[in-house]
Amino acid sequence: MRATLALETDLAGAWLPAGGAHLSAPHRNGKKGRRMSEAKGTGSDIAVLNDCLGRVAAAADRGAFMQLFDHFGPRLKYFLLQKGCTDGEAEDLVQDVMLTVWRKAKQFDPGKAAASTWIFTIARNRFIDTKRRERVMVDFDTCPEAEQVSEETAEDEITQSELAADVAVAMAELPQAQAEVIQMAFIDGKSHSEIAEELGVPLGTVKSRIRLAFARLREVLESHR
Amino acid sequence: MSVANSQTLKASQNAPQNIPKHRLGDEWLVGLASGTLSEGEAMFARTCLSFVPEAANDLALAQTLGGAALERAPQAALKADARASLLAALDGAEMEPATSSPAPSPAPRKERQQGGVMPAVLQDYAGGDVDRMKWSYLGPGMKKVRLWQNDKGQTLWMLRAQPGVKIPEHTHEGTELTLVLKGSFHDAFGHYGPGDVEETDNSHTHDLVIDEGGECICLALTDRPLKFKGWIARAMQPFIGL
Repeated sequence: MRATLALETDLAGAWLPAGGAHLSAPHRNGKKGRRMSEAKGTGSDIAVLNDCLGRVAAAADRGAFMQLFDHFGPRLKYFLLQKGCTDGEAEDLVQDVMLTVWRKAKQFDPGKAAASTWIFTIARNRFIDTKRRERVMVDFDTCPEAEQVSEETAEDEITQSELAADVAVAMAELPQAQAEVIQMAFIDGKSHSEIAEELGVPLGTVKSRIRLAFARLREVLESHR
Repeated sequence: MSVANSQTLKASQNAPQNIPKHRLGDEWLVGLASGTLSEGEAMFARTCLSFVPEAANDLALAQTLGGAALERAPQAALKADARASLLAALDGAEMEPATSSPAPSPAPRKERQQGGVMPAVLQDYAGGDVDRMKWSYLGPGMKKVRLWQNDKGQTLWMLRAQPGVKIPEHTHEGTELTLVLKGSFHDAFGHYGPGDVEETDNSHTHDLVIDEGGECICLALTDRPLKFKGWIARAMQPFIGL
């Protein structure tokens, strides 16, 4: 129970839409060279969510499952609304995604991804499935050419969860213009040219912002090797 | 020259080991992970990634970014009974065992050719390797096959060109991406071998020359039909059908 409270309060600052100083302030880590996942909050939040999913897998723990629902449900609904679902469709899909989370919980591999990553992937695939926007399913779990490589470079559970925490911190510290395009791609589901159109900037600008943001993440990844 | 060619040939035989020098930009990883690419774009990106040794890590990183974006997403209030209906639905929902993921990846198509020119992911999509494609005439020493096209004219196609062939100066209304699957070519921007990707946009007009030493097979993604500058090429264009 205490874990739930900690989770909800620590993430409170990050619920607001992208933009403004509140995004970077709570997690900013002034000391260079210090592990970012030691920064207050984020690391333990990810651990709490992973732990919930673990409890669902191990013991069909409904309390833990509803904790996941309370955390991800409203975010998933926002995500689906942004993608053009009606309110009713979004509600149905949230139920559908969460049921999939329940059913497939035992297949969740904390060594491979954080709970948020895994759930995001399920939601995205489920949405793509519905809209048939893309015939080619892109799922790194079922991507044979990717799987080949992951055997050799598999990272352990702790590192993955630390990585997710550090990525979250890095995201919060990105310049606003970069964080915005990342958010628009993943949450609003907009293509690069749609983003360019909406922001009124050239396509090349959108691409370079994403590249810069990703370069920062690569640095984070490097620190885990 | 001959040394470079023999290296290129060797590289094409061992495509997965060849480390591409010219990579697809990271924005494509974000596109893949966010599910915002068109079918042709997704196929192009996945084929490029099959040449990149650390592709799995790159994709995993992009997906982690998706998770982080979800954490940062605003919340939309759910209906008051959403919790109750989900709890009720759990009664009828059986949990799948850890190991059995029902058909995690589609079974390899029987047409897939081991060690073919086209990476497995592209073979599965196109229904076999280059020899099973229905190549048609594009120009002297050049053949093409169209794999996909959407209503906006975005096209995923393959080019098969003989050594020494010069592809006429052309411009693009949108962007053109070219991935070398076999052989190599060069143009004003550099030299491209297996796994290398060239991205050009409307500011570029370029001639492209296929290197001596072997045929060159490329996967290309174009936004809109190409415009060739030479009058012969222009006259031919209606028949080329790109």
